[in-house]
Amino acid sequence: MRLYETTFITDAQFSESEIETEIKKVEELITSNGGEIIETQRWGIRRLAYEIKHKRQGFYTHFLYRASTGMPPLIENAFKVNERVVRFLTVVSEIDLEARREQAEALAAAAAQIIIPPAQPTDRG
Amino acid sequence: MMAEGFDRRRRKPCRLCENKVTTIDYKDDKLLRRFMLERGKIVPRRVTGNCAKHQRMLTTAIKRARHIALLPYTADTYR
Repeated sequence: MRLYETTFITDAQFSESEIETEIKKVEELITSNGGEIIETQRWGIRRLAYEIKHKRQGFYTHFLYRASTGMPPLIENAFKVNERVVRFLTVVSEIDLEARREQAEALAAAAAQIIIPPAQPTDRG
Repeated sequence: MMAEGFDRRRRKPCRLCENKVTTIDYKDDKLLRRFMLERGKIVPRRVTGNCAKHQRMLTTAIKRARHIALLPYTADTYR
């Protein structure tokens, strides 16, 4: 058993109930195969950083769950054949459930100390 | 002493080490943006002074965030 995180993006044009059924499907897939969902986060409709399939917005859902190593391919295959899913990502979670907040704050503190000089106009980016 | 000038150049401290960062969350796009240039490039180590270990953690996080469109690959995609 391992801790995994899966995020998937559905087309924002679908109705709430349609998106909800998609979320339910994933949750059922996880639990029916011996996985345990720790957290389901609905980030809602967000603007995509770049166009995917000519779409600029998407509905983000994030799952944190414990499952066996056979689980990720199962989920990913389900996403691949599902045309409502625009993008997905599964990673082995490194989240320390107790120290989540502190870690984010530590990174913020570090970022505050770093001064990045403005890009030179000659820099082609 | 030719080499002295080079040796004396002060190494920037790794701010992530100083703040005891052990994990970097790819979902925190706002924070990760602070380690990127406006164009969407990842700021090099030579500029930030990050150590290799932390820079690696950062780049993986940024690349993951890019995959799920939380962060841009380039700033050019919308025109």
